[in-house]
Amino acid sequence: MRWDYVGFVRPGNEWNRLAPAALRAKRIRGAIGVGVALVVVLAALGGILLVDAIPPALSAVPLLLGAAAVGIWLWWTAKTFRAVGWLVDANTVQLTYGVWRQVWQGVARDRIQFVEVGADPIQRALGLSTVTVRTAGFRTPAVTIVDLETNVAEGLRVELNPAQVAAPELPPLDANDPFDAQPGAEPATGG
Amino acid sequence: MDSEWRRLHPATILSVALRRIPQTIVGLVFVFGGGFQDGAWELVQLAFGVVALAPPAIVYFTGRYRLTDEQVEWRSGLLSTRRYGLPRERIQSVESSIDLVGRAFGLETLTISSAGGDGEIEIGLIDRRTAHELRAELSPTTIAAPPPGGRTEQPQPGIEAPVRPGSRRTIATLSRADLPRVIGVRATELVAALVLGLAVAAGAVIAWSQFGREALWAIIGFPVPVLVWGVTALASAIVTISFKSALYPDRIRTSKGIVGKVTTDVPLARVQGLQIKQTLMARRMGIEEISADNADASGLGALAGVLVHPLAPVGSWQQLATEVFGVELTVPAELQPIAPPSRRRRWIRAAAASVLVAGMVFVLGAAGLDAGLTQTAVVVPALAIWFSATACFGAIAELSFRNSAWAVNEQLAIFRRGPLTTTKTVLYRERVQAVEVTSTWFQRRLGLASIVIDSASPSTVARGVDLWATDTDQLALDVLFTASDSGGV
Repeated sequence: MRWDYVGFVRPGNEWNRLAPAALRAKRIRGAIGVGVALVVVLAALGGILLVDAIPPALSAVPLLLGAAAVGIWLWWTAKTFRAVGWLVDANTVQLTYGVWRQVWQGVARDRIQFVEVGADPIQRALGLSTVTVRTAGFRTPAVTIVDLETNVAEGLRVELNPAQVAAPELPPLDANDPFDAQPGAEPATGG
Repeated sequence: MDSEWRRLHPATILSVALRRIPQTIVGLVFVFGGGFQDGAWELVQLAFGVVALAPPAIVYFTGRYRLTDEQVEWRSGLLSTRRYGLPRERIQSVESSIDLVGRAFGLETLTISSAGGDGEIEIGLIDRRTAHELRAELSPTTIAAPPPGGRTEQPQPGIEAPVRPGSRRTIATLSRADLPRVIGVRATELVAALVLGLAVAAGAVIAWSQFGREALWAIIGFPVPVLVWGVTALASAIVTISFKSALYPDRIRTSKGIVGKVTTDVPLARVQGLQIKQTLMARRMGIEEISADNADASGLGALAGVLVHPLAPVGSWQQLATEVFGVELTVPAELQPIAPPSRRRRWIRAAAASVLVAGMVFVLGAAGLDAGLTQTAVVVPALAIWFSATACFGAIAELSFRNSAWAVNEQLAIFRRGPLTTTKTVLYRERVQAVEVTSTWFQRRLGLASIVIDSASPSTVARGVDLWATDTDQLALDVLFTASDSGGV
């Protein structure tokens, strides 16, 4: 039996994929770590080769190894980028990711406790955000979609917010409450 | 119950001081012990002593609690004050414990837990009458809990009524007469203690023969593991002997302990699932241990759930589940085994572990020879360790495969696992929070995947490893698309 993916694509539903900017963000983030590691490895290898006075023909080995590592890394990041898919339908939020270990996560929408949207500096520069859909689950407390376009992320936040399901009546704004006060408005006085 | 702030009993100071015994001793030594002669250093010493001794007094003098229509509130602290409100509808369990001080003064400590790791209020010591009133007041009859699916269709008589003495059903009452069965069920632990002790003793004898008096530490260390395991087994047996549990219309109440006593109330509306454990001996004796799990994740105890019956007859969990979840349950007739290729995977893992142990034994043996041990003293134990480890790995691989099984129907998800002691997790599907399916490259080659059906409880997590991928696919769909709108907690 051949089984190529974890999870499923039901007829009529296709996985949503991340925007190309997400791949750039992934590579920038990874480059910081990989760059440091490469410098250390190349310096070590180069040092050894120089110290031992290896023939000049072999001195290109570190460079070749470095180039190979970078190539593999670029290929791997593209593969992991393509593996991410997310889906929001009337009943569920689903996420799939992973290349070696493929993971599929699903949450029924009425189990959502709250939705978070956040962005680190790299994401902000590229117009991306991370959406975290939280449940009360202990082992799977959240489904986290990393590097979504910010407008898509905000749309998901609004769409998946439990308030949209329960449609509660919000209390009127309180001018004395710092969370409700409008910028520039004078706080109400008196008791 | 009024909503005035109330104080704790003065004996709280003694109780907290005893619970913080190391800090208390250090504080007393600093304050009353001889110390620095220099005036400034003496002052510093006194300050350290006061800081170490202060917390019990701070808890008593600043600790206040009150019950309002909406929540239980607790406040305490001197420099950094903490005020915590736990909404009634979020209460997962109410636990009452009596320590030595409480026993002497007729007092109790109430621990009220909510879902999550930090959501816990500890009120105590308070007198037993107040504790009883609080427990009654925090009954789930006053909690606006999301009704489980069938309960609205089949209202249980008395579920809205306060707890009445006549409405309880005793689940378990254990006494001294149950001691042989308790020991029998826990025989695995005792045998493990014996094996461990013998292994350490053998090591000690070898060390003694090689190093003489320099190996005295080995002789001294020999009884320690046996003592630890013996005390553990004995303590668990003692706790079990004094065990009581009962089912009320709205809650499960359990009580255990001989010297200290702990009473736990778990609202039925908060139960996420059941765990049924069977040791090797328990299977022979036709006994199983049943625990109920709620969404309280505070402390290590939460991982084990609330013990409901340590010596239940096999299969009795089905009746309990029906009563706890308030619906007529259809329990799957039998569990189906996991995918057969899983056996190969488990044996490969066992072989890999065996090779790893062989490598470690080789390195240690070489070090032993370098240190001057004779060949016999190295080779014989090394072979013995490697052979027994390999046998253990193989047995665990085979038994864990044979014992793994699962069944899912419209109401329940049941997963069983474990090599010697098996754990059957029974998850009520109304409580499902999320589903996760994973598959490594090795699993995909064999058409396998693993599934986790998650609830809000740290212990009620239905895990199936190495099911056919087509089954996990279908299961995930079924469970996810039939989740009710009850919120699940």
